[in-house]
Amino acid sequence: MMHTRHIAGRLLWRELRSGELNLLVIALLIAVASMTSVGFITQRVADAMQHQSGELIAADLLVKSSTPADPAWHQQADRLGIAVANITSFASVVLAGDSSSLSSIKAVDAAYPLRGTLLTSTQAYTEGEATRDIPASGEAWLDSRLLNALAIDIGDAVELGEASLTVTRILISEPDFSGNIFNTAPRLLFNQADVAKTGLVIPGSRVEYRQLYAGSAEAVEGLNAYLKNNLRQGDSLLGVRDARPELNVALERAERFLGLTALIAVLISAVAIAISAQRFARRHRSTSALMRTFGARQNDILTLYVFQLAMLGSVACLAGVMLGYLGHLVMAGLFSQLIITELPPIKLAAAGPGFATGMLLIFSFALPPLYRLKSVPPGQVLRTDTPTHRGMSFKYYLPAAVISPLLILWQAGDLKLASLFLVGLVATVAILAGIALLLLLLIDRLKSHANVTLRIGLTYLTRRRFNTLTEAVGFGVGMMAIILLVLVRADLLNDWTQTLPEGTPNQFVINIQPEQVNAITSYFDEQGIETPSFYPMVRGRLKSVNGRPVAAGDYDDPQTQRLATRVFNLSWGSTLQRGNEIVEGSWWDSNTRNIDQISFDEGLARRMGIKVGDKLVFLSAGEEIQATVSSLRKINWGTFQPNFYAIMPPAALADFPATYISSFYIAAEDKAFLNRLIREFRNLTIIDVGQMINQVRGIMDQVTLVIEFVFLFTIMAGLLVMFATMQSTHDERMRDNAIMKTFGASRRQLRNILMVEFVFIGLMSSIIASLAANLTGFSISHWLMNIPYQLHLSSLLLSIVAGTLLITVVGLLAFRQYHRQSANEVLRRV
Amino acid sequence: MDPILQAIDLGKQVVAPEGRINILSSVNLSIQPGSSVAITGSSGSGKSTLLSLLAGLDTPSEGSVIMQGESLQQLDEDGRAGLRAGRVGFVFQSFQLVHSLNALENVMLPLELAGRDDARSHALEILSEVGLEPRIAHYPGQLSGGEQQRVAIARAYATRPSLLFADEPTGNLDQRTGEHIMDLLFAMNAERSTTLVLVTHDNRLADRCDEVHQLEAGRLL
Repeated sequence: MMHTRHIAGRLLWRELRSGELNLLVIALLIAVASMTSVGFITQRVADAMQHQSGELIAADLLVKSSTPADPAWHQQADRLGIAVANITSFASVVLAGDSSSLSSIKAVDAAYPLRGTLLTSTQAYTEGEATRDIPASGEAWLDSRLLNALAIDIGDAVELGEASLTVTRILISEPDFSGNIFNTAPRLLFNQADVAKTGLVIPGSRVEYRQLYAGSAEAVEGLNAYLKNNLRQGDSLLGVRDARPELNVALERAERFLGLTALIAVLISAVAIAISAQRFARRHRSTSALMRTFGARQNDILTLYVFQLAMLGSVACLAGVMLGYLGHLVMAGLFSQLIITELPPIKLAAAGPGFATGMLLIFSFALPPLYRLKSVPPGQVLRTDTPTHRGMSFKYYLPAAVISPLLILWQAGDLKLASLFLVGLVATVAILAGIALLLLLLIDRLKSHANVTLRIGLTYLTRRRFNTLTEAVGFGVGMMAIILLVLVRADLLNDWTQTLPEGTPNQFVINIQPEQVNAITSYFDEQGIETPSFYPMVRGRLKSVNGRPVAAGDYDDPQTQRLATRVFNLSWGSTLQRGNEIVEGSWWDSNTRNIDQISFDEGLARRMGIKVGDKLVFLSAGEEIQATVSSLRKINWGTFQPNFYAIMPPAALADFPATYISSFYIAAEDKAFLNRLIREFRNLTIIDVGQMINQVRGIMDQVTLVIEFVFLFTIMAGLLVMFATMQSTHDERMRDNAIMKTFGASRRQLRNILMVEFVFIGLMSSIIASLAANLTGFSISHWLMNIPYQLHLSSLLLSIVAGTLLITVVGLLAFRQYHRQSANEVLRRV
Repeated sequence: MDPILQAIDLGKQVVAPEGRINILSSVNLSIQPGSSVAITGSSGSGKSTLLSLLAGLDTPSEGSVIMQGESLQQLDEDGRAGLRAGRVGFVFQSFQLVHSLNALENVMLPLELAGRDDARSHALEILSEVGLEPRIAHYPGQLSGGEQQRVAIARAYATRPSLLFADEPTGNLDQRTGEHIMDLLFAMNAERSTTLVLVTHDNRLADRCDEVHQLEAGRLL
């Protein structure tokens, strides 16, 4: 019995120490770390949601509605011995002195919460203590952010609508905070008894009512059955299991997206692994031949290398998992503003996929070249010449060719997305390679005019065309993604805000009561601010289309499901609003008597299959509104004017409770006007568009930072591919260098030749990456955002310079030993 | 006494762009156990090809090799490897030490491949025999050419082979070192009664063997 394990272990140890396997190990580390960091972060966020799901709704069961709960439900709950609590929540501006902040407001009663606990504190941004209390009447608990935004402290007063409340505690967390994990607006919690005092909850205002129930499982089951049969249209019943489906969906999408992003790094690392393994195999032909002369059988040789790979793989994958752990900490840090709940600890199982992927990579990409070592003819030991190296036949990479799409399928979770991703990846690689090839042909034509250093350096690039393309594409993919993200994050958003003309409304006012319209108009006049238009709206749900009830299940697309079943803001008007264009049917005459007609948004109509002539029934405040679609409108949503999916002639909605909405522009120096307006009309809710854009930008910044972080692994993998391809020609280069040295080439000249290569690879990768990123940026702005695309020359140049510098500096540092050895030393060794 | 190694009508042809080339033809050879045999000839005469056929490292186009009573042609690659394991030793012109292993580990390699548990102690013993005890932890790159060849000799004798093939063992060494190496090789050979098959173009070296066969254009004279 051959001592395969001893020999394998010893050889492996020596090779690791000599640095022979460095690239292969680093490639594995990157692949495993990128997968594991994404694995850990998604596991922790998913666990946070899972962990809280019992408390997520602060109850066992709840009904969510846009109108107050039916008193019969409470009676039924009482009969079954089930505890009941009520929540009223809405958005409103909270004032304190000259400061104001749009906040998420929640009014609760003494029974709240039925499950889970509230955490409060007397100091902002601390851990908080559990409490069974709720704010007493006249009191408010604010979260740290709101306290900060208003620059106030405990004991100070805040104004909420017409009520003045004293801040008595700082709200650290609520069991059913709808943004429990992902931070949205600042929060204010107060007593249900004070709701009326605020004057903010009036007919037509945008309020969400929740009735919470908790009790024995059997009783809850009974109530569940009762409620299912007694819900009104638009009410939704939520159990623990279906709490936050939208967050689950969002998380699942994020997991897939980040997983696929990590997979790009994995696939590029796989290329580096394959190239390093080929070189390793070439260098071990003589050792294998030698062992064969000593009597080792083919299987002994194969076993030896399989052992080596298994050992190397396990250790490197474990180290990759640890690196992934550190990586996920960085991601959690980048997410910190977005995730406010403390995340549960990691589970080792989350490292499983990363570890398994690493092992799969090593056996499908590194084993094939080593597999051939078993059949090295032993007679080769007698040859002094180096056998010409034949390329690897495709059949050896069959496992890799099978495993790569399977990995993609596994990460994508469905065949369609996997195919799209694969096609996208192949197309990107093909485009990048195409541009790189063109550049290479250009270099080939130009190089004869260059001086000797430049010419030799460029010859290395053009002679090993396949290597150069692999390097340029490997690095280019990662770089393209980063450039694109930076571009989308900064430039596209700026471009979009800049396309808005001067004076574009930057404030929305909602909850305006009909009787306030005239008073507000006069107030604007008095204050010397241009009077905006006021648009009425009545809230109603779409009950049926041509007699067929509307249900979410009728539509495949989740967005259509949401839009179709949401509460519509129905408006009325005699003339067509600015920014609206009739694309089908016709707008009504301004004094039409036919009030049962409706003009519908063309986009939503297409999604829902609504056509001109269809009969729609809406339900508002228990009353039906019937109308026939008389026209379809194309709406320009970017005007920042209030716009409506559904509009009817003026008299149609006269009997329904309506509120008004308006938008206007306020220059930064006139912002104080907003506080005066709120003080004068306390029920109004003002939404600052600029603040919202900043909030969106903030979220985008963090999300893109996390994605960029994952793409950093791709950049590193790309650099590795470059090193691996360069190292695969290491012996040849050393020999060439030595020969050039014997002919009198100076170290400086040799370094310059190498530098020419790096500079040009850097230039090529950065140029193709920037071109591809700008092309994608153009597609996004042109087709997705409908704004003219500006080529940002400065970012383009910056990315080309940065990419070239990165490759050149890292390359020269990594290959600095090339010039240190004497010619004689090299020639003797190679 | 039965020969330990026998070549019967051995021939080797290769196909080259210019047509079929005869490297060896009709070689007949019989080597007795314990003897030392030199195969000499100028460059390109087919010496190394003959050696690789005799050792079963390559397969002939015609004829056969019988090693220790077994016809190599009846065996597949692994079968030939199995026959070599522990019974055949090699010394090469270019030493062929594994660069990533130190002297001791290089000597241990064939012992471990043969499944020997005493690989380390035995390798240490034989390295001291070749005078390299102080250098056991050195890597090939840290040893002189002569020292590397001594490690190779120690490695070749480590498994106590009955047959030892040496391919131009002094080809890469200066004359003095070469002589020292040959003294060592012959001394160890005599001590262990190993059959030595030596390929060389150095007549002085060949003269130290019991038998000398000369190859010319692929034929034994």
